[in-house]
Amino acid sequence: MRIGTAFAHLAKSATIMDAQVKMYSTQNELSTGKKVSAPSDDPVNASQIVTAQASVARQASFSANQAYLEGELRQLESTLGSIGDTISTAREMLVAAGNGIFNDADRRSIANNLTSLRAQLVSLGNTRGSDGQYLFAGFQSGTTPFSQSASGIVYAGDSGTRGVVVASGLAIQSNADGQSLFMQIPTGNGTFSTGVAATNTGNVKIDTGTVTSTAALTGQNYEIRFTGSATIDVVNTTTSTLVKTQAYVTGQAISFDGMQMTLAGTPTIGDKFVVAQGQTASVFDAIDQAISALNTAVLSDTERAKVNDAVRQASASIEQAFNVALAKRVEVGGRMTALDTAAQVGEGLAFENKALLSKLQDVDYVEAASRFASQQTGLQAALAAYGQTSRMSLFDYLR
Amino acid sequence: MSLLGVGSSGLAAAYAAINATSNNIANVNTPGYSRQNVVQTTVPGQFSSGGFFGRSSGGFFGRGVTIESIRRAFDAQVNGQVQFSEAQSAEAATQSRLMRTVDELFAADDVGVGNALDNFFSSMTQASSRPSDIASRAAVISSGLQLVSRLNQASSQIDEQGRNVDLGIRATVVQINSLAQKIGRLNEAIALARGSGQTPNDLLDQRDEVVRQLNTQVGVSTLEQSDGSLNVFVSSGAALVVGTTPASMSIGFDLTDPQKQLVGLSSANGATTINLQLSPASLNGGALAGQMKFRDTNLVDAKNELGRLATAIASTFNAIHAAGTNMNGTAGQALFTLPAPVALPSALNTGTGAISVSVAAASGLKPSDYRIDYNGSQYTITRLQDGAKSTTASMPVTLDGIAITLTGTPAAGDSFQLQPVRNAAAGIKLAFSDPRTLAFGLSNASGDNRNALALAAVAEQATLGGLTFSQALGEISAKVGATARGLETSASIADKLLTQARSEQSSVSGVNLDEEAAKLIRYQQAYQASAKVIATAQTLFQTLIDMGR
Repeated sequence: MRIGTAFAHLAKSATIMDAQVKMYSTQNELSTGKKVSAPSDDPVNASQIVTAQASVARQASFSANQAYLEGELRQLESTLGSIGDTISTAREMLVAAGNGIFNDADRRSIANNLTSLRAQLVSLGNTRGSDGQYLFAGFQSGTTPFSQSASGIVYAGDSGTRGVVVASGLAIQSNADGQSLFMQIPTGNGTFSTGVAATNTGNVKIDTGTVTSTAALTGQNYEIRFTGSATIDVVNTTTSTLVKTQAYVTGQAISFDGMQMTLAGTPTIGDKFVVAQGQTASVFDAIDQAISALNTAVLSDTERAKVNDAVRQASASIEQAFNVALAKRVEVGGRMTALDTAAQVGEGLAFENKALLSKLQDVDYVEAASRFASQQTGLQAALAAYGQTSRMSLFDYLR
Repeated sequence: MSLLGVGSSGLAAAYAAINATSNNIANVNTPGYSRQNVVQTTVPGQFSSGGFFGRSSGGFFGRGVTIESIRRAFDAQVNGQVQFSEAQSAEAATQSRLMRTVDELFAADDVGVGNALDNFFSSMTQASSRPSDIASRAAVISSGLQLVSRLNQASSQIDEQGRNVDLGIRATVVQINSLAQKIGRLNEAIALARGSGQTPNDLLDQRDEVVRQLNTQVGVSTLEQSDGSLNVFVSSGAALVVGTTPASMSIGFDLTDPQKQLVGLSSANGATTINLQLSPASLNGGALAGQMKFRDTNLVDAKNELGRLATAIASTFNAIHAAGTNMNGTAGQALFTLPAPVALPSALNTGTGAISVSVAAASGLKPSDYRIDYNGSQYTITRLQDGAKSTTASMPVTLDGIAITLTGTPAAGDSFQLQPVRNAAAGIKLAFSDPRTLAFGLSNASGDNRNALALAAVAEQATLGGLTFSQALGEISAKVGATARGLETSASIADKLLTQARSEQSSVSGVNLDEEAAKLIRYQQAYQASAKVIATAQTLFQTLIDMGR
């Protein structure tokens, strides 16, 4: 084997160049902190780097949505709390209005209070979120949902539920629809309502009643009719059939088709009482009904019975409205819990993805620094070898 | 024979050897130089029956030394290995170097397509939670603009790279032609010099070096003729140099695909000119092969991959967006616009047939161009990426997510080039810039976000061949990365083989200065000794002359 002098020099300088290239690339890794700058640096993990980056970005967008939703839900919850408080105040006033010793002026004063509570309720129903959108308008979040019309308060929203994506495949509702909150309150005790007919001339009153057997409920409407001063007929008005005829004893409960209610007072023959199932009404109508009843001057027992009945019915509806608001608030609380869980899971996922990305992309400084040091030693050795071997020449010895 | 004659022949031989050694030393760094040795032999002895001085027995008396020839240290097999390795290494290094730009295009950094895609999805997800918020909608528009501009840029960078490679190919062709001419001239000079009966070492070295340079441009095979001239072939049957006549390489355009630059070889065969088209597959290495392979496969693949992604993004989002209602209460329009897929008839077509292509199902798209050949009774559709063929007797036909329709009547032998997705990434645009035009609802209620949720959900939908867009992009990155890495590896292997071949060649032909120094001493001493012989002869004659006085 011979060594060509020119090639030996080339080969040696190529070795040095090689060592320099390696050092440069390590230096580059150390200064950028990345060991992967193009897919070819790690083709096996190139795909995973792209998807991990996408996951990190996705978790960040979920996290932004979580923060937004948390604000919305907090506001929703506190507004629902205020709504509950307002309804509760109204309910207490109506209980007070049932007090027999109140005179017309006292009742009018209560009516005035109720009027302002009603206005407060409308204003709470028209609450806007942080982005100026109405919370209780369904999809119609740009339209004032509750407004006064000739026939009372009307709802301009819809029942749309707006989902906010807070995790992969998980959308949590951010709004509440005003329809079910205020406009579709079950009347009476929540299952059926009772009422005194406007044509009654006696002073018999009826209570709100209770359900005795859910299974026996028919969902139909009934009338209780005085066919004698001590005899009543219970008629199913939906099917126009006589359910039963029984003796009337004041204060004694009447039961039929899973329902039970009590009549008390002195009837006039022909007096009627309406029992209706599955009716809903707006809370504002209920309050309006109470206000109108409380503003009515009471001159006779018959009138008092009717006014009291109206107050009782309104009171029952408001009780239901309170329950609805409470249930909504509990439901929003449930959403907040779900959001918390999603946020925690998301945080964990984001951490894992970031860790994965860092493992795939980032330089292990200790390893890179020691690699750099060994490359430096290698280069120094190559330089020294070149320097020493190229100084050796036979010509130096020819004198 | 005289003592003087012997001495002076030794003097001449030593002088010639010192001359050759000096020449070796002078050319120590000359590329392609092979060290030369003086071949010296003894001059046959002369029989003499009686001694010069009396009756002693006779014998053959040596008559000195003679220079037979100057020979270069050369091994044809080793030289062939270097030539071959040069071509392989140049091809691999060129393709690998060019691929690096594509590789970097798919880097997962802040300015990559992946980042823009992530941002677009993020802004969509955030905007979906507050559909009436104009600022969030504007963020969707701006990230959408960014996404299309990244796709446009990536595609135009690929185009730019394609133009650069085309320019590179032109330069290579110029280089090849000039080297071919040089070989022609050297062939002439060598044939002439061989007339003297001696080998023109320096001309041969020069020609080998030119052939080596030619190999770095295009891989060639050579065949030495009896007159010493070298015939050079770029591929089987395509002669680049025959005797003293070089053929000429030139640039033309593909008649079936006018955007594509071709390399042709025209050589004179007697009175007729033969034109040959050089395909990358027919070349055996060299920068030209690397450039053409990169342009025709790697670049086209990268562009088609991006184009397929852009097409799928546009058609997926457009379908969902069209189902929604925007803030103005009108139905959603397209979110993205795409350039029309390209279908080019070959310039050689004789029929009236025209093909048009449209995307039928984005999820089934393949990142490939297609060619349709009509043979008079059926159409053969070739997917150019992998060569998969399918045939049909009638049009229209739907294949790989594209619908192909035909108007007019093609003639047998007609062909068409289809580029269903190639230009999509370059031409994808956001269809509008008014945030209110984003159709986020299924009704025109300002709080309706149902369609926005559907748009945001695209991020996690399997849309492209069972992959989400991010996964599909990841797959592209992995493919590009693996290709780039593979080319790097081939380049480094080819480079090692080349270094090894060069090392062997240097071992055979290279000048070693220490060796030459030793030779210098050796021949100097021989020279001095021969001079002493002449001096001795002179003294001897002087003795005789003095005797006669």
